[in-house]
Amino acid sequence: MAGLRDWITIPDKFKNLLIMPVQLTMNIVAMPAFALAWYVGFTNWSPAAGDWWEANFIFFDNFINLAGDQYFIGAILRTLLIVGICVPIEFALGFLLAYVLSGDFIGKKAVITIILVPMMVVPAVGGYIFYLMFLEYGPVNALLSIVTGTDFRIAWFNQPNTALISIMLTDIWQWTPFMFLIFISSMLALPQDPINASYVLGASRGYTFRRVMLPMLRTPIMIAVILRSIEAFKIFDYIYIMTKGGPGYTTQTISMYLYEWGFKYIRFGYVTAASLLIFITMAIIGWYASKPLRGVK
Amino acid sequence: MQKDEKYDLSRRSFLKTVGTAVVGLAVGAGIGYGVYPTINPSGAEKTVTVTTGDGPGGITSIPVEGKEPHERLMNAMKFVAERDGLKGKNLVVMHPGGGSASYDAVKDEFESETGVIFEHSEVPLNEIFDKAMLEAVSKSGDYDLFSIQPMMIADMAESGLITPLDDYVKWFDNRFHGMPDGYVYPLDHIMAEYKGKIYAAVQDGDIFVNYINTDMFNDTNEQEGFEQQYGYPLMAPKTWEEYIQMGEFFNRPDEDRYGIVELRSAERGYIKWFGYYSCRKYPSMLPFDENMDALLNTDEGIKATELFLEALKYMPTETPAWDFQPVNYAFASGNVFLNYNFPSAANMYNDPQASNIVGRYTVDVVPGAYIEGPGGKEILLRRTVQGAGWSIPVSNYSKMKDFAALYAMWLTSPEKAVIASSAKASWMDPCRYNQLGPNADPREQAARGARTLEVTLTSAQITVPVICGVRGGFEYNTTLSRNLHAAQLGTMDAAECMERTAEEWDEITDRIGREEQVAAWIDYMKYYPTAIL
Repeated sequence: MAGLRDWITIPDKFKNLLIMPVQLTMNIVAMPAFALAWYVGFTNWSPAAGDWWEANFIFFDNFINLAGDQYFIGAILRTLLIVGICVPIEFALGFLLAYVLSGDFIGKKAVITIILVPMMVVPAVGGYIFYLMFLEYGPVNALLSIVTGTDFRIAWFNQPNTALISIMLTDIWQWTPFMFLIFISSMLALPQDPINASYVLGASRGYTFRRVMLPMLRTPIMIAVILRSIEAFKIFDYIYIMTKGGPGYTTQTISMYLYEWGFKYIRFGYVTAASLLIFITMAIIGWYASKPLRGVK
Repeated sequence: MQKDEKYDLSRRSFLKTVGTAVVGLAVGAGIGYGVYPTINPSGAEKTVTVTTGDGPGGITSIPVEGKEPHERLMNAMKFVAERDGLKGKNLVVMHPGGGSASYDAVKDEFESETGVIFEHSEVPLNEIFDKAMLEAVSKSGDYDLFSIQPMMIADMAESGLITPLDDYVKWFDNRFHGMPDGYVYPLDHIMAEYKGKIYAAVQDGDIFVNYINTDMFNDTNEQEGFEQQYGYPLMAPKTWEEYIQMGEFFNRPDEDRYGIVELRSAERGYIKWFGYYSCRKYPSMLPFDENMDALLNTDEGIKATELFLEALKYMPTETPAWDFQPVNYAFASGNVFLNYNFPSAANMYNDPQASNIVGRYTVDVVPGAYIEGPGGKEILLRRTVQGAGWSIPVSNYSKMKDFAALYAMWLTSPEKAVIASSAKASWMDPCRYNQLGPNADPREQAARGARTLEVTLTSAQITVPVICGVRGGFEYNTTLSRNLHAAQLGTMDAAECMERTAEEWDEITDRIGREEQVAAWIDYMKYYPTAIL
C-alpha cells in the first residue's frame, strides 16, 4: 500500500504514472507493427507475389544485398552530404539572425514574423515554389542575368550539382527560421544578471557572448542541431517535387530511395530491411549525439 | 494558494492546461469525425452489401439485349444496377489526375441511365501504380476500376488485385478483336493481356508518330540550304540519322528555334528510346532474348542510345526536365521542326486557342534504320512504340465487380470510345479500327485530323510495346528511364548506360524468378511486329 502511495506522493514517480497510459497505448499500437516490420525485413515480400505471410523467409539476404547496393549507399551518402551542408548553414544563419534581432528595435515583431513565414509553408508547396523559381526561364536565372549582365540560362535540374544546390537552397530557406526561432527564444530567456555582471566587470561584448552567453545556450543549440539533423535526414518533399531524385539518381536521398524501391518497385521486404538498418544506425548515432543532453535539468 | 516553486506550476493551472487539452482533443476528434464522410465519400459503401464476383447465376444470367456493344452493355448495366441495388451508389475509378475529360464526356448519360454515380478518384500520374498496389495490400474495396498503364498489368494480376475479363468479353461481345471496330492489333493483346488472359479494356492507344512543322519544311530557302549542307533533299526523315541531321539543321537557339522536341523526362523519357532501338534488327530488336537475358549491352543497344543522346543536342536545353505539356507547348509554339510524340498531341496542335500551328504541320511514320532484312537484303526497318497508354482493369475487391466490368467495356466500346477520345482535353488516343485510318469516325477526324489517324493506323503495324507482359514491368522501364536520363545529362555514356541497365534488368529477372519470367516473356514475344513498311 505504501508502494502505491509513493506513486502519487513522490513527484518523480507521479510524473511517470502520468505518462504511463500514453506510453502503454503507444507500445500496444506500435509494437506489433514494429515486430511485423522485423519479420517482413527478413522476407522477400512483394505484394505482386502474394500477401506478407506467403513471402519466403530469406534470413539476412536483404541486409547483405543492401550492403552492396550502390543506390542505397549512394542515397545514404547523399543524404549525409545534405545534412552536413544544410544544417551548419541553417545553424549559422539562424544564430546570426537571432543574435542581431535579439535587441530591441521598432518593428521587431513584424520582422520576426516575416522571418518565420517560410517555416509555416507546407514543404511540398515550398518545393513547388522553388521548382518554379529554378526553371530555366524562372526568376532565379532572371535575377542572375540582371546581376551579371549576361543571359544566364542554367537548367538547374539538369545537372547533378546544380540540382542538389537548388534542393539545399530550398531546405535552407525553409528551415533557417526554425533555428532562428529556437535561438531567439533561448537568447531572450537568458538570465540577464550574469550578462550584466560581465559588462559591469569590464568584459567586451564579444567576450561576454563567448564566455557567458554561449555556454548558457549550449543546450538549445544541441537540441536545435539534433532536431534539424534528424529532420534533414528525412528530406523528401523538395526532392520529390523538384527533381524526383534525378538527374539519374544524383539527388536521390534515403527517403526517396525507400519510396521508390518500396512503392514503385514494390519490394516491401527489401525496403523494410533498409528502413530497419537506417533505424538502428540512427538510434545508435542519436544515442551518442544526445549524450551531453542527458542529465541536463 | 501556495505555489510549488520547484515545478513552478500551480495545481489550478495544471488542471486548466489538462482540461484545455482534453477539450481540444475532443473538439478535434469531433471535427475529424464530421469531416470524414466528405473526404471519403466512398466510405458509405462499406456498410452496404452489394454483390461480389459474378452475382447470382453468374455472368450468363445477365441478359444480352441490343445490337451495338454500347447498347448491350448499357442494358446489362441497368439490369445489374437493378438486380444488385446499385442505384445511388458510387462507381469509383482511380485514374491519373488531369485525365477526367474522357470520363466526363459520357458521365451524364451513364448516371441518368443507370442511376449509379460516377466518382473520380484522381491520383497523380506518377503515383498511380503505387496507389493501385497499395490496394492489393489493403484490399479495401474502395476502388472499382483502375486506369493504369499496360506495363503494370502483370504485377496487378499476379497480386490478385485485378480480375480476368475474358468471360465478360465473350458474353457481351464488346468487339475486342479485329475489324471493323475492334481494338487495333496488337493493342488488343499488348495493352490488355497477361499470360493469355484479358485483364483490361483498352482506353488509350498511344502509338507514337512523327510531327513535322510544314512552315519550315516548305520554305524553299531552307530546302535549298539543307540539300546543300547534307547532299540530299529535305523530306520526312526515313532514318534516325536523317532525323538528327534535320534537327541539327533547324536548330537555331539564338532565334528561339529548335530542331527537335521529344518527351525526355526521368519518368517517361525511355518510351521514345524503344523507337530508336527496336528498328536495329529484323524483325524487331527485342529487349530480351528467349532466356530473358537483357540484350541492351549490344552494338544495337549502344548505337540506338548514341542516336538517342545525339538527338538531344537539338532540343531546348530544359527538355530532360519537361513532362507532356511543355513538350507539346514547344511544338505548338511553331518554333520546333520535329516532334516524335503521342497522337493525342494533335488534339492540342489542332486547337486554335492553344496552338500556333493549326494546319501548319504534318504527321509521318517514325524513322528507322537501314539494316539486313530477310534473305540478307538491305531493308529500311521502322519501329514505333506503344508507350504509356491507359487500360482499365476491374478490381477484384470491388463490391460491384459485374457492374464495374460492364462499365469498363461500355466506356471503351466502339461508340463511346469515339466520344471519350474526341472530347476536348481528352488524353485518350484512338485505339479501335473505327477510330483510325481513312474511314475513321468523323468525330475523330475533326479532333485529330485525317492524316494523324491514317499514320497512326499504319504505325500500328510496326508498333513495339515498352516492357510489358512480365512482372516488374514498372521496374524494368523505370530503371531504363533513370539510366537514360543520367546519360542524357552527361553522367554516363551510351555504353555504360546500356551495360548498367542490362545488369539491373538481369538482377530484376533473377529476383522475380527467371523461370516464371521466361514463360511469360515467351508468351508475349509473339506480339512484336514483323511488318516492313
